[in-house]
Amino acid sequence: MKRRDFITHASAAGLSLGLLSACGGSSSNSNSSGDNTAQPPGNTLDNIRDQMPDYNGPNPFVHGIASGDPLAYQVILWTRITAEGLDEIPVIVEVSETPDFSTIVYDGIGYARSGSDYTVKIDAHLPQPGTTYYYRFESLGHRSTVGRTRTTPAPSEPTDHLRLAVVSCSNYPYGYFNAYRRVAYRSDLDAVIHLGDYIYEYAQGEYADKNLAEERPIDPPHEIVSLEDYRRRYACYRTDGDLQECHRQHPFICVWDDHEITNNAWKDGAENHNPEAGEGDYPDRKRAAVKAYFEWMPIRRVDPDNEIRIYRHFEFGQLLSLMMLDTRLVGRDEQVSTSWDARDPSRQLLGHEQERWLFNQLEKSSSRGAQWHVIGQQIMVSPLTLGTLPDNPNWHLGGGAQLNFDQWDGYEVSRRNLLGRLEAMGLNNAVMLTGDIHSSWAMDVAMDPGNLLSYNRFTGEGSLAVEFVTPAVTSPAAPTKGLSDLAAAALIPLNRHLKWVDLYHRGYMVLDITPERCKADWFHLETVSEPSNQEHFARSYLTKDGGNHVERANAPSAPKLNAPALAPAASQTTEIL
Amino acid sequence: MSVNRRKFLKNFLVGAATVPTLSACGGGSGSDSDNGNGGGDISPELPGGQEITPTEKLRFMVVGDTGTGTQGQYHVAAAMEKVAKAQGAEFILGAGDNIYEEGVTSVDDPRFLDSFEYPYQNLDLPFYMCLGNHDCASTIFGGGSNNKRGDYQVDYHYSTNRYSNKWKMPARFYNEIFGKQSDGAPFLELFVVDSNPLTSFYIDRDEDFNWQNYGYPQQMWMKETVDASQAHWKIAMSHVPYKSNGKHGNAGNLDEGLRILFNNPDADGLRYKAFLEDAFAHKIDMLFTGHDHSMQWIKPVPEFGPAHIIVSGAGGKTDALKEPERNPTFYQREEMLGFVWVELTTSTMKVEFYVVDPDTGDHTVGFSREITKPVTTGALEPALA
Repeated sequence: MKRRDFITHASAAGLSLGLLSACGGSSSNSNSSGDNTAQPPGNTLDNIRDQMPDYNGPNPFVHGIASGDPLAYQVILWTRITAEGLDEIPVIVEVSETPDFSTIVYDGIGYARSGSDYTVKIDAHLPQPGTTYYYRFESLGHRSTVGRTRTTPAPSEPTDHLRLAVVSCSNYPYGYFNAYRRVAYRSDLDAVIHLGDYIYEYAQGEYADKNLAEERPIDPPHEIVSLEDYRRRYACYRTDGDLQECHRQHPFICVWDDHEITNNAWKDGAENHNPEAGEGDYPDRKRAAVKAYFEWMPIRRVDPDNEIRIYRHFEFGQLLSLMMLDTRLVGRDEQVSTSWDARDPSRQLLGHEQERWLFNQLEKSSSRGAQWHVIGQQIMVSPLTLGTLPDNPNWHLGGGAQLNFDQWDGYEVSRRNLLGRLEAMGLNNAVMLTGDIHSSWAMDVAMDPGNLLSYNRFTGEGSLAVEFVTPAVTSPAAPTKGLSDLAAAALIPLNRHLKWVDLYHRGYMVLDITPERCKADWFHLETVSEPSNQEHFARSYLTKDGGNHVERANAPSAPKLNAPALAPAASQTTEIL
Repeated sequence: MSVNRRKFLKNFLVGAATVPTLSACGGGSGSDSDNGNGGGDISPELPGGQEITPTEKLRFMVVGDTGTGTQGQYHVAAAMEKVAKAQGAEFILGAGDNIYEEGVTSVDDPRFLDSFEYPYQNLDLPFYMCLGNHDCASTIFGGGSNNKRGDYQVDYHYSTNRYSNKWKMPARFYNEIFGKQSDGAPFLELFVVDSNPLTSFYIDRDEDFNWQNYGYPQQMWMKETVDASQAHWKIAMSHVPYKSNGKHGNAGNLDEGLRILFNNPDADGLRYKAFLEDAFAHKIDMLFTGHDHSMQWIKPVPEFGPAHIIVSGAGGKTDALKEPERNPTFYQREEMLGFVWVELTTSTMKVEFYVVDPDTGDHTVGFSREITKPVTTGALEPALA
């Protein structure tokens, strides 16, 4: 009974979505959304099927399918239609609890339009929290492969186990997306968190493995600047089978880093934006990049009045609050190059609004009793120095010689504001997730790690939170393992809060969360120079409930029992016979 | 004046009189969410259930950094008496550093007389006081590392042996309501911050006053109290500036160049700035502070919303402006004593800066300006989810 009611609602909702996004297009029905008794004639699924434009071309779903931004009862479903000469193409989506689609719990309609590069996004309303669903799209007489997605446990639900893959820095011409393939096959994940650098903006050969130039050419071959360029670059990445498979099997929660726009992007500019080289105005480029991002990524717009806002939060039962930040476009001031300038109190990394939002979210997360407060963001929070010294802000000691002013080290006041808030709140169980730096790190997050009086590197006392840094899917760091080991041997003694670093391997991280501990398992790949499914468990660090510092663990966490089945392999033909 | 005024005053005094009994149980530590409250819960009903006469106008004076007990403080007090008589005033706000140089050490400390009661002997109005760094200091330098000492100033509020009953400080941080609208909601609500534990030059080793035990709970209390306020006008007062062109400067970078002498990492006021923005931004109409011994009317800044930012710290000492261009102002005056007189109506606020010559005691209007109410009620944006 309820189920049927729900479906009717869902159809009405799906329908109204289609109408809403028609923007005065062909559908002229003026039904009121939510009024499920008045099914407008001409827009039932069957009628939509009947009214499909004539099409005799090949499979229009060449860029795959994806899902993202899961909530307890909602998830974004994404696809793109490639069908030359057509516009305003109806696309139907169906969702089921089983991969054979024996019962449909939601169906909806979207439209592929030139105005959004023929991408289609439907915010499906689903009946159960914490549940795996299977979905498929249908358009122009073809059916997409089946995708798999998962709603989050309801915020009030006690939850005893979550597993999240964490990835970043996937540069197509730098290697094969073996990491995505490995993540795709982990059937027990609740979601995949992508911390940015999902695409890279460079021209062919500019930042790439030269040996792969023929196997993995990028489109367009020039540096991407215009909206059309960005769209083509996403399209190019999305032809990759490994990436498609990863999207198909898991909901993604994504934020951009700099390369979704251009290298070392900030609010009003970027290192790799050169107006003198004909790259135009930065605001135009930023707008283009942001538009293409929202078209191509399975992300939900949280603030309709703020096109650039991607900072948002997710609640996974009582176990986890996940806050995703934008440390690039919304508030970042320009990078500086000295410790002295980095301490300018007027400099912002997050911007006022986002910072206030984050602090409010931390409060809310704490007051709703969430066990873990995870902040997914791009750049390293903890200092990375050539010698950690005490850092009393009154004396401008600077905490040592920082190496990278593009990370939080370059925004000392913003960091102190965040850590100061954690300290003032007395908040336990905060975890920072970081990408950007193409390497694996486990660190304590202390206010003043160089100060023996306020932080004990052996016991972790004085640490306020922990930071886990995920390696790149393909982008490189140290050219050889030997160099990486040398650097690690040098860095660890100089950075007292740093417990482990690997600068060589590509791979990903699995975050395994229970009420007792939050644990990061690093998995490293044998190679990205060729397709390979070889990976090995590299390291594991965890932070115990109330511990607020990292401890090494010996083995990766066990997979979940009875993980839901992966979405079935694609069938030979997509045509509906 | 009019019947309204008399009614108001009567009502006001009834309200004020009940303050001690209401909040006496809470003491002054402010570590839970009730005891910072000085009088916000007082029912607007008059005894006997008379009909409410809405407040049309409210006038008050703001004076800070007063407690020297020297001629300067007497000069300012005399000028305030004259202005109160000529223009009217229902109460006075004292923006901290009430007792120089190192506060009081007991509830019957004679410095209450020397630095407060005697100078204001002829000003028969309630003074709503806020704690400053010198009120919480154990050395003449005002380093603020002895917050516990501020408790005596709260105790004085409740003392039955005090010289007059003008001194109002029901808690270290508190709210207070004044007047009422036709629906019974307050006309004005005042929020008073205890800024010293958040910004002191030197670390207070008393753990009761650290950020976890004091600063953050105060911040949450303040935020909740402001959010819950039904008052038409909302005004905050604190000692340490949010913005100032004087030597102490802007929160986030307080005492630039001097901090090398300090050991408290919070002395730059970074967390204090976030506190003020968190609790007050886009919600209050005005913020009064002291600490810098000058008078400044600083223009609203985006991250704080439409609130006007006023420094009135020249009630007993004078100082030069260190960087007059640091923040854009409507008015600023250095090296002179003075105070601020404010008149609120339903839709306007009039702010007058009175300049008092430290040598002669002559007073003049330095600046006067009437503007419409900064925060339009009912037009608050919904908080972002």
